[in-house]
Amino acid sequence: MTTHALRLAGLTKHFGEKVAVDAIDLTVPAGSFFGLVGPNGAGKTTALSMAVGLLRPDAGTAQVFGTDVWRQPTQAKRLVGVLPDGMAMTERLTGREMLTYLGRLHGLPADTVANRVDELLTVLDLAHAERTLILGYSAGMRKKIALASALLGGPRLLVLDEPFEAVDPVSALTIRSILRRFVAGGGSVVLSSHVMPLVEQLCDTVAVMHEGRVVAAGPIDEVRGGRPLDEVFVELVGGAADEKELSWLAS
Amino acid sequence: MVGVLIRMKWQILRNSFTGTRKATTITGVVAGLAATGCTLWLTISAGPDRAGGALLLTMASWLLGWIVGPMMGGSDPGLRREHLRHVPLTDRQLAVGLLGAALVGVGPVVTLVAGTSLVWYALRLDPAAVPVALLVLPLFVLLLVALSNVVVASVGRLLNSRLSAALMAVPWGVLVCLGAQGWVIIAAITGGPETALPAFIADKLRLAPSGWPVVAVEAAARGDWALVAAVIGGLAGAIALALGAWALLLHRPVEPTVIRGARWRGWRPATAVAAVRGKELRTWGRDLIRIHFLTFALVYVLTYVLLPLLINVTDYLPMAGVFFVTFAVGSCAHLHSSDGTALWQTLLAPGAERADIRGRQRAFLLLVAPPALAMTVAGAIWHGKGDMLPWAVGLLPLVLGAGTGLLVFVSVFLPVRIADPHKRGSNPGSDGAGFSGIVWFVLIAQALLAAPSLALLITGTVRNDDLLRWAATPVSLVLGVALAWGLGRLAIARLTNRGPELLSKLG
Repeated sequence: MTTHALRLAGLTKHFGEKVAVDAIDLTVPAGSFFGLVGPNGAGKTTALSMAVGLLRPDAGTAQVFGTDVWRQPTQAKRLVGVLPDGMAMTERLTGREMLTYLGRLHGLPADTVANRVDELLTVLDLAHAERTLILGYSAGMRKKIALASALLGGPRLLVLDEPFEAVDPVSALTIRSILRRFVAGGGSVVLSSHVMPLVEQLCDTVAVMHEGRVVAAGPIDEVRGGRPLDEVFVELVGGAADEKELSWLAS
Repeated sequence: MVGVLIRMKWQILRNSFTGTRKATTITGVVAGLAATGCTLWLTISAGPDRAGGALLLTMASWLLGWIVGPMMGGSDPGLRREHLRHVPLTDRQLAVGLLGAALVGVGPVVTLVAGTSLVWYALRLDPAAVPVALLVLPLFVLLLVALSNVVVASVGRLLNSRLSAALMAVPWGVLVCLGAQGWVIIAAITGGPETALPAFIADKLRLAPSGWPVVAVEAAARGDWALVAAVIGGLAGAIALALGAWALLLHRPVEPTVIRGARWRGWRPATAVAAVRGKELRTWGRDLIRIHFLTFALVYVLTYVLLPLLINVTDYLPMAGVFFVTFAVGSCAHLHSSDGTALWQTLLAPGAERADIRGRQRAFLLLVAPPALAMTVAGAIWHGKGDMLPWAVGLLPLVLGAGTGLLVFVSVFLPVRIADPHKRGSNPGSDGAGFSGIVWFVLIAQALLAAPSLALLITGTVRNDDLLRWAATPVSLVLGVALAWGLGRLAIARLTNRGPELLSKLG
C-alpha cells in the first residue's frame, strides 16, 4: 500500500514550441490537503489535466495511489474525483438529472445514486433550482454542481482546479467545510488557486509552479519560512508591479 | 475601424485554419470553384439567350445559398457582436465594420470569382457593358454578404423557444429543397424541360435582386443607361437598407433563451447505457440547435417527396422515411462537437466510452425510427402501387443501421471545434460552425454503404426481377445491423484510445 495519493514524475507537455509543463515531479502524500499555486499560465491546469487522464503527456508518468493513470485508466479513474476549470458539462440536464446520469455512468447502484444525489444537492444548496438546466446556472452554481459530481463517486482523491473562483462567500464556506471533512475522513485533496490566504488557511502542503516548473514544494510552513505566502510567492515568481508604470492612469 | 476589424477577422481565419475546419474549407473551395467552372462554361459556350438564363438561375441560387447557408452551419468563425460590446461604436459603425470583416472569407472570394462569368457575359453582348459588369459585381457580393448577416441576426432574435426553433426550420427546409428540386416546378409550369429558360420565368428572376446584375449588363449592351443607373442605384439602396436593418438588429442584444427542465419524476436508469440514452433524449428535446436541425431534415424531406405531386408523380412518397433518416443523420452527426468539452465527464467515468456511444445510438434510433416508419407506411399507402415497396422496405433498415453507425463514427472521427454551449453567444445562428462538410460526407458515405442493396434494387428493377428486388431487404437488414454495431465499435475504440486527443480538439 503506497502512501502517495498522487505522484507525478517527469511529467512534460509541449504545445507547439511552448513548453507548458517542463518535466515536473510532484508528490502528494495521502491524507494531505495540497495547494498548487502559480501565476496565470504557469502550467497548473495543464499539469492537473495530465495527472487525472484528460490530457496525454508527452513524457512522464502520473500515479494515483500507485495506479498509473495512463496505463490502467479504469482503475485509476475509480479513485479520483475531478473538478476542471471552465469546461462544459451536460448542459441540457438539470442538476439532479446530471448527477443521476453521471452516477450511473460511473457504475454506482441506482439506490446509492438517488441517496447521494439528494444529500449532495441539499448540502450544496442546489435543491431549490430543481428545473434549471446547468446551462442556466450561475458561475458559482456551476462550481458547486461540478464539485457535487466530483464527490459523487466516493473518490479517495479530489483534484480541483480553481474550486473557489466565482463562488459566493457562503458557498465558499460550505465547500471548505466539505473539503475539511473529506480530508479529516482520510481523503486527499489537490487544489489549484490564485488566492494565497485561502491556500494558507486550508492547505498543509503546497507547491509553487512558475513557467512550467515546480519552483518550491513541501509542507506549507517550510515553504513559507515564517512569512506570508504571497510574499514568498512573489519572490519566487517575480514580477511585482513597478509604481512608475501606468503613470497616465487617473492623471 | 473597418480596417481594424478586417485585420482581426483575417487573423482569426488564419488561426482557425486547422483540422476538420481546414478539410471542410478546402472541400468548400473546391466545390465552389467547380461550380464557378460550370457557370463560366455555360456563359461562354451557350448561345446568348441561354447564357443569360443560366446566369439568372445561377445567381438566384447564390442568393439562396447566402441566405440559407448560415443556418445550415456555413457561417465561418469570426467576429461576433458580443466581442465588441464594450467598444464605443454606434450601431451603424458596428454594422459597417462587421460587414467589412465578413467580406474576409472564403465565401465572398469564391462568389466574386464565380461572378466573373457576368463579365464574360457582358463581353459577349457588348464590350461597352464590361465596365458595368465590373461595377455591379462587387456591389452584388456586398449585398449578398449584408443580407446573409441580416438573416443570421434575425434568426437569433426568432430562434428563442422550442417551437420557433422548429418553425424556423420550415422556410429553410422548403427553400433548400426548392433549390435541389426546382426542375420539378419548371417542368410543372412548362410541361417539359426546355433548352432555354422560359421567358416568363426569366422575367421573374430578373426582378429578384439576384437578377439585377444581369439586367444592368443587358441594359448597358442595349445602351439603356437610365436602366443601368437605376439598377446600380437599386443595388446601393438595397445594401444601405440591409445595413440599416442589421444596425437595428445589433442595437438590442438578444436575451439568452431559458429552457426549463421537466419536473423531477424519479428517473432511475437501469444501466449506464440507459443513463446516456435518457440524457440524450432529454437533450434532443431541449437543445434548440438539435431541434432545428432535426426539423430541417423533416421539412426538407417532406418538401422533396411532396413537390413531385405537382406533376402527378407519387413515386417519391414511399421513400420519405428513407430520405428522412439519411438527412437526419447528415445534419446531426456532430454530437460530440456540439457537446464540446463536456466530454471530460465521459472520459473520467471508468469504462464509460461504450455506454456513451451505444446510448447515443439508441436515443437517436428511438427518435428517428418511429417517424421514419410512419412516413414509409403513409407514403406507401398514398402511392397505392407496389412498385416502390421493395425500394422503401429494402433501404429503410440499411439507412437506419448505417445511419446510427455513421452518427457516432463521424461524431468521434471528424470533430469540429465550436464554442462550448455555456460560452456561446446568445445567437444560435452565429454558432453554426462548419457542419456543412459533415452533411456532405455523411450523404456520400450513406450512398456508398447502401451500395450492395442499391445494386440489387437497380438490377432487379432494370431486369424486372422481383426476386432480386426483394433480396435487397434481407441484405439491408444484415448490413444495417452490422454497420450500426461495427461503426459504433470503431467509435468506442477511438474514444477509448484517443479520448483525450478528441477533448483537446474540442476545447
